[in-house]
Amino acid sequence: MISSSSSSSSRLGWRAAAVAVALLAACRHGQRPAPAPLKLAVFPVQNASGGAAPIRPLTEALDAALGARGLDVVPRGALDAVLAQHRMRFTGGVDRPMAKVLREELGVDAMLVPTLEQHLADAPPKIAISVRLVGTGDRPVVLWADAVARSGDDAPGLLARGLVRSSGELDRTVVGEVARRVDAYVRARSSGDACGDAGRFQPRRVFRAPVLDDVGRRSIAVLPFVNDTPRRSAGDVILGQFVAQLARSGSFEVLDPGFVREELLGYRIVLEGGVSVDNAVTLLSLLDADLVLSGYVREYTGGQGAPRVEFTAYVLDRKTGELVYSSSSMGAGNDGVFFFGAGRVRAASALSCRMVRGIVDRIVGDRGRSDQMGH
Amino acid sequence: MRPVLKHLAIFFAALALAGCPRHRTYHNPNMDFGSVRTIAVLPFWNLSKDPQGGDRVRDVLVNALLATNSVYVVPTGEVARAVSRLAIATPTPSSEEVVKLCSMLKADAVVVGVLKEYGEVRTSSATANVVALSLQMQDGGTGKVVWAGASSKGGVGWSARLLGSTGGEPVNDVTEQAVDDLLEQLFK
Repeated sequence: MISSSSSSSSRLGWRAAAVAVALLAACRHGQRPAPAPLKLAVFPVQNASGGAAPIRPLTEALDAALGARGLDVVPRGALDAVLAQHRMRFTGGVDRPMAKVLREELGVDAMLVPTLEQHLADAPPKIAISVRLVGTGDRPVVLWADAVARSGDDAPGLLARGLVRSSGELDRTVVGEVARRVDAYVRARSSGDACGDAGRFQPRRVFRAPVLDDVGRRSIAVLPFVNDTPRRSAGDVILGQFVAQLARSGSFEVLDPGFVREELLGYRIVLEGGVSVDNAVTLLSLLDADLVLSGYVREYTGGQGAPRVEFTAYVLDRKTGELVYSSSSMGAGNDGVFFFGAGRVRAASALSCRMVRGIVDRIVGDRGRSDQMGH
Repeated sequence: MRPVLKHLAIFFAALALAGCPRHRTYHNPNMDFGSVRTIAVLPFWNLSKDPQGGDRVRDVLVNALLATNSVYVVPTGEVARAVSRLAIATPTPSSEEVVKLCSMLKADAVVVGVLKEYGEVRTSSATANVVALSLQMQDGGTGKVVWAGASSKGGVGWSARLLGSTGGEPVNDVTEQAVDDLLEQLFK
């Protein structure tokens, strides 16, 4: 009897403990609820590599990698049909009419815009892909952006056993990593990668007006960079990286370059020789934005040697009509490398990403993330 | 003093003087430089072999001026628009054109410059980067030159000649040194 009573009380104890654990697990005080799932559509990979590249295989590989992760992605056929029906040919960004069509006809929450920034098939191969997710709301803004850049000789290891010689193998690795990061954002809203420490690639001469500390100046439009290099699309690569790093900072509402392009074309605004204050103020009024960022790319080389990147960036403020940030950056992949190539940056895209990160960190300054400020 | 010592002293004094930088700077004594709050930097006259040298040095100068927090520099796009509208012959505007430009840009002064050398110089066994730049500041009210300065930095030094080294300092570092030297001359 005693034993029976003892075993029944022990069973009850175990049950109570199990229920308590279950209740505690259900409560999870202080933890955010899982974010709402996003329905995505994926644009074809944009070629900003400055030469011929296997765009179609990369697009198909990205579709397959995203599908394998169980993400809710609109089938390519359905997306192509809707774009063809509305005669929308530009797939390098999202403007307002496109966002409306995709939202209403396909139920898309966000567009994934992948861009191929670098592709070298010669051994050791190099590939860099950037991606950004653009919301299909009334104002297409960048929700998240990230980039993955790899070189076949990033980690050669002992006796070069880790050297990747096949371009296809490196492409698959990078596409898989891109899909993993998209999945991480969609499921957990994890922010983009900061692409390494800007340390030695910081801009040296910087002007930053205290006005930038005003968190009221929140929305920013990134305008096309003037490309003064012989490499095609160098300006687009730098622009994409500024968009990615500004979105990562969480301190600004970054308007999608497709939205900016729509207004530039619609009002026939020509940015010859850089952005004038008149142009900037007009454009910012049209976009209802506070700040505009643009610049010049002077050098962008990224073959098999050490990459070299040089550019100037500046920010204009709508309220004051003045320059509030300006800096010049110049870097080479082997800057500050003394022993055995340790710390060498091998891909131009990875180098420019670190340089851009240094600038964006300066622009953000003490503003911090907007979600920490209650926005 | 013994004649040998005297000769040696003269020799070393002459050597030291020969090594001193010779700045040929002009400051208009009647100009109140404290009243210059906004400056427009025009595209430089590029006499170097690098077609982009002028723009690169101009970028460095604009950022260095802004970074002093003493003056505001009109955005380069704004300058390009005004130059185009006024059909000004950059990089050598006349005094009247400078006055018109400053009025349009709401600037107190204009900086014009000549880039004489930019890039690598070579001797028999050594190479190094060199930048030679001269600048002028013209008053926005009268169009007169109120300041002029020149600087040359980099080049093949005696150690490079002896050891036959190549490369030297990066051209951007040499540019920054030349620009810093000019700003020192301006704010002196």
